[in-house]
Amino acid sequence: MRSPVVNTGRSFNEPSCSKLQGIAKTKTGETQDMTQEAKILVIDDEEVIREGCKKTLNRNGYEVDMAKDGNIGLKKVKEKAFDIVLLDLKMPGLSGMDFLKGVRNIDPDIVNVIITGYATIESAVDAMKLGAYDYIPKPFSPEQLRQVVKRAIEKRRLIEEAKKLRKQQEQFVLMVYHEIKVPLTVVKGYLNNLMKDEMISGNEGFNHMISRSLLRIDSLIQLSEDMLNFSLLKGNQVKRNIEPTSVIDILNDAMESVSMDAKKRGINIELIVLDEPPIIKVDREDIKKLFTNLLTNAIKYNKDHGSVFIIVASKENRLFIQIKDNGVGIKKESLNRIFDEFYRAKDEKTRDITGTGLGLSIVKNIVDSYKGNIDVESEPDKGSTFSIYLPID
Amino acid sequence: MAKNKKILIVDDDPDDVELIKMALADKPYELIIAWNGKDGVEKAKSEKPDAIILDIMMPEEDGFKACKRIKADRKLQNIPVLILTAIGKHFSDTTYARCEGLTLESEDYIEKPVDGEYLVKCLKKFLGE
Repeated sequence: MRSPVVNTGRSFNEPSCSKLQGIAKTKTGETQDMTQEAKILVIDDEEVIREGCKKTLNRNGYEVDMAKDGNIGLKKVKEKAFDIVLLDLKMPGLSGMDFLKGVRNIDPDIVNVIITGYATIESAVDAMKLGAYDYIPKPFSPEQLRQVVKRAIEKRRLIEEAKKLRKQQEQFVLMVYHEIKVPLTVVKGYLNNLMKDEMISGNEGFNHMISRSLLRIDSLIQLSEDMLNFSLLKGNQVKRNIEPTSVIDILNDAMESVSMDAKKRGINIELIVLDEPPIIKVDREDIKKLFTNLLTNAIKYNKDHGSVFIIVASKENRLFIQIKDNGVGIKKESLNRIFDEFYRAKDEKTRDITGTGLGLSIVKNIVDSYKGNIDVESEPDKGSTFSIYLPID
Repeated sequence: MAKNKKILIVDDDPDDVELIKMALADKPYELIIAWNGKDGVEKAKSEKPDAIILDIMMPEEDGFKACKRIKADRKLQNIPVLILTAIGKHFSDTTYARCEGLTLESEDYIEKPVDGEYLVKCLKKFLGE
């Protein structure tokens, strides 16, 4: 079992130096030669091959298990963690191809090596499309087998290393997020309390200074959240909760969460559903973030008493959502940079608008992660239109 | 006159504690402070509070573990626990989701900075006032 992420929570409050030592320790602990402890599963219906592989690999100190078809193989993978699977494709019972499809859901990090005859090299290619890492043509010598296994172990080690680095990055970003956010919320809390005092909120000068401070703090809090979100999205660390969801529901949610900001500036948001979209399978929070970010921009970069239109339609296998504002628009030279990280289109009209420059990067990342598309059209002073296409299944 | 309800505040940040105190200043609650999760569970046992306000990120023992221990203790499990944390809910749902017990077992989840009125509303609900 992998250790739960909760452990990261504990390390939050440890002094940072001990944390770094902790990381260094695990690192040295795990760079030791994996060949000594690699666990290999040989799945082949021919006993000679199974036994031959086992004998050869045992001699190198590897731990070798055997299975005579894909079903037994899957069962073994469920019961025990393997590093490498040597897999025959043609077997009675569950074939090698079906094993590859099944093993992805059990342990996607297992390195699969296909054992195949020359005549079936095409199927080896198909197998590699299913995620197999390498193949070894039959008949093979013990030395050839050792070479292939050595390469596979190196691959496995790299996968593990990359996973560990992602995890460390996640922990680090979470720690930074927490360490930034806590003091900000404290300052915000105290300022909120000051504003409750009528002597202070009634004084125009004080009121202005505290209001501006609160605004800047909110924007910093937003930045810390965007950074975390962005970093987790990039590292594919967000645990998605994919379930059938109504886009309209999510849109209503997103509209609700920006309604206060819209109201303050007298901006009207209208949802136009051209045809009832089908239920799609997505993570609700992802899509809400996507809509909220776009709506926030549509409000922030709008004019007072402006309008925002959300148009929903579905065509064939694509869902189409358009968010249209009649605000300040985006200059042509900025248009192709707005999805860049930390890019903010600043000019005399937008100078006072606070933001992090990550909102649209997050939008783009979310759309990409669902294999969708996003387009933008804009004209200065007329407004901007963001069009999103999401595949339906 | 009815005895004041006891509220246990478990939080390692003195400013956070002060802000919670400010939010509850004019309310008839007796406030008890614990500075980490371990201390919090001990005080829950000895003081028998009517409600617990629990931070997540703390040294010694974090709020997840403390909450879990409280809910596993037959003498404590009926005390309502309010999670009060700087960590956004979405992140805790996703990143910390593998820690069972947070959203399931705590009675509510409030994000800092604490909104005094909302906190009081929650407390009243859980205290049955």
